[in-house]
Amino acid sequence: MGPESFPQNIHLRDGSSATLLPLKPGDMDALQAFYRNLPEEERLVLKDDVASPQWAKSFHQRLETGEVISLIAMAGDRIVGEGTLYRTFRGWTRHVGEIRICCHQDYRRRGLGTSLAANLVKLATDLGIEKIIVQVVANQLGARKVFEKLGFHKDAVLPHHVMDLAGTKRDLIVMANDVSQIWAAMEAINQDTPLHMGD
Amino acid sequence: MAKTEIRVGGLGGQGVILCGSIIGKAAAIHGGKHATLIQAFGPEARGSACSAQVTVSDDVIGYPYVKNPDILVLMSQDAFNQFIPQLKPGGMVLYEAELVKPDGKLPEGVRAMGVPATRFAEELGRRLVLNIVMVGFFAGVTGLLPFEAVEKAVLDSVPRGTEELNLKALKKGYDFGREQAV
Amino acid sequence: MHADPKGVLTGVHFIDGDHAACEGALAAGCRFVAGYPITPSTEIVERFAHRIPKVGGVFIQMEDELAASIAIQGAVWGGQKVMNVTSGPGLSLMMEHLGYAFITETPCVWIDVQRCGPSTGMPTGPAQHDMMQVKWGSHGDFQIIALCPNSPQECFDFTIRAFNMAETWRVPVFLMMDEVVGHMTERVDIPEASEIEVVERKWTKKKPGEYKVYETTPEDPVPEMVKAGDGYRIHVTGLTHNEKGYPDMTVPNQERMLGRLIGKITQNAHKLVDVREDGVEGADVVVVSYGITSRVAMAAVEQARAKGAKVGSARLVIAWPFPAERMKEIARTAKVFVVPEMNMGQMVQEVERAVAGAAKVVSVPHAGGSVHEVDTILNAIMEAAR
Repeated sequence: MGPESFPQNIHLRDGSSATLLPLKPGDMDALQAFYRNLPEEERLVLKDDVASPQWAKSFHQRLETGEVISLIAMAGDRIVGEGTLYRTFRGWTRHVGEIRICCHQDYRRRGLGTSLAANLVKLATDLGIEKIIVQVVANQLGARKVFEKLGFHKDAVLPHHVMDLAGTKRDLIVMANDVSQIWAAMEAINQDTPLHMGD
Repeated sequence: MAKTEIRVGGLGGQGVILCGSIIGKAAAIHGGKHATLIQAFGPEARGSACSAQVTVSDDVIGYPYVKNPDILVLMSQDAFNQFIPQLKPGGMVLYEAELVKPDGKLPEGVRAMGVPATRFAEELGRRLVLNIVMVGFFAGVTGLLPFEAVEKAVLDSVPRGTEELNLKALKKGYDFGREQAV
Repeated sequence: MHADPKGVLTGVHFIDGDHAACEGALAAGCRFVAGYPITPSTEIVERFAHRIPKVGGVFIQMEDELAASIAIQGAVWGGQKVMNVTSGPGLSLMMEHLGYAFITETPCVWIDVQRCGPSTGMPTGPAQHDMMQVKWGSHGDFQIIALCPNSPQECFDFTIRAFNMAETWRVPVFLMMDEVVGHMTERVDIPEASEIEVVERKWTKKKPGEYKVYETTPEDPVPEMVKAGDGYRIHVTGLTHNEKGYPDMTVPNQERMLGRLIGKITQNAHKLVDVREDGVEGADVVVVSYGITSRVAMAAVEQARAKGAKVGSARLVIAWPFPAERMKEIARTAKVFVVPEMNMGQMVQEVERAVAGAAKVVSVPHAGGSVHEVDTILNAIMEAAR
């Protein structure tokens, strides 16, 4: 992660601003506090039990190895948003990175999530990750629009795959951004035209 | 500045033409000079070698080809073997240090400078940008074109989404070239 | 009137002559091309096919050059501005339809990216082998206009000019490119659409019934045009025809018709002169050249002057109609014409004919496949200057 890109001051649509920076191990407590403050419904969407100390330890380890890259958005001294890029170095999906974005209720619909996501996409590209995925629930229309704008397309649909607190099942959509396409374009222009003779 | 005749040579797929095109664009579009780029067809593209001829000049360019270059930018041993005999006395050859071994074939008075462009590209994350490292190295060593012009030419030439890495590759080659500048 | 902005790729580009020619055609309003691929011209139509989904228009790849060269003419009478894109071997196949375009006064642009012949020759090697073919290749007497660009910028500019001339004179207008100019990449500046002058087709204001397809006046030998679907009943034929376009195969009518068709150009040749001269006044030796050869010649002329020779250069931008009058004038003061061409001596014959012995004329031929070496032309100049 280029230190020269962060911290990044961003201006949001409602006129407020926030600062994006990489998560440091010392921020773990603040991050957990941020998660605990999310409505229960939303904490359900987070795959891990982010409130538990075991999670914090494992997350910290993965930050160290680089399997996890996390950006936080600060307004003053509060964390108001967070975006994480997950990847593995071994295994059959080692070319794939997964993004998850989370914004405080007061900081939604103003471009913060988009900004976090865009930065993570750029980081993933620079790291040589070939494909980035994000999981969204079918009715999260706002989130889907944000990712479409960032170049994601619907890759797969898992029907009735997520269940909310009330027991309602919804489709889970995996959206993907084939970062390797960008580099495929670069490779294409590097193709030196072959000799062609005759008609 | 009189004419400067440059030939870029390498294997097909290394982005030899793109390399020549960026130099030409930097000169003609952003550098206030005349530039003519010709890609090699015919016998010169035999085998796997391919090359780009770039002439850069303050004045209108008459003869369009590069027969005896002032500067060679080479990314493969084949290209080195093929083009080194054409180099003008006192000319300069810039080469990829891992793919080309000059091993004593250099004519009298010729300056030869290598750059580990493949390694630089891999360190930056993509081997593919090796030719952009070469462009940067060329710009840094020769000082022929302002860095800003070359930078703009790179941005004009690479696909959206690849700009940041390509600019890093350019700078890496350029800085390495500045250290060896004559 | 100004160009349609949709077809104008305003900006500063680094592209080759083929691509620039395509952009020139789009800027001029060309929206129909029927093509057949042939090296080194293929990129022109490939780009056209690639661009028209955005710009609007039609591209059809035809089954051969005969089909291509006549399909475009149908499109002209359907109201479109069209171009024909080929190289020497393709042009040979198009000769019959070239004559048809001439006798029917179908305005069209023919781009010939010349390559080394004869026959299949060296497909990727440049030459200027077709200069006489475009003038005499079809059967019968006919007239054409031919422009010779020497850079990608001129490929853009002269293509627009060619389209304008085609509409003005209603003859086939050739753009004589060559493989070097077509494949060399240089800076091309494309201005705003509002800065590009485009000649609109000479549409008639007469009503159906009043209008006659080939009616002209002595002052204006170029007839007005209509297009299919506008309600005019017209008849267009390659047979010798009268004002109404009906066959009228009598000797007096042949004289009348052909006289006017040929006269459109021969009597207006003074309006179709474009020779770019440098240092011709007072020069002993004058180098006459065109196309890419003119750039190499320029380098040779500069070196000759550095050696003290009094040498001028006359670059043919319009090669046909040949500027015979201007050559005659130059022959009054110049002693030797040096004519380098990438062929075995074609336009030099026109120089000889115009000069009619008033000065010496030296051919500097080249079999083709590359441009002249600067030294070859320089030596010829110095020899002539002795």
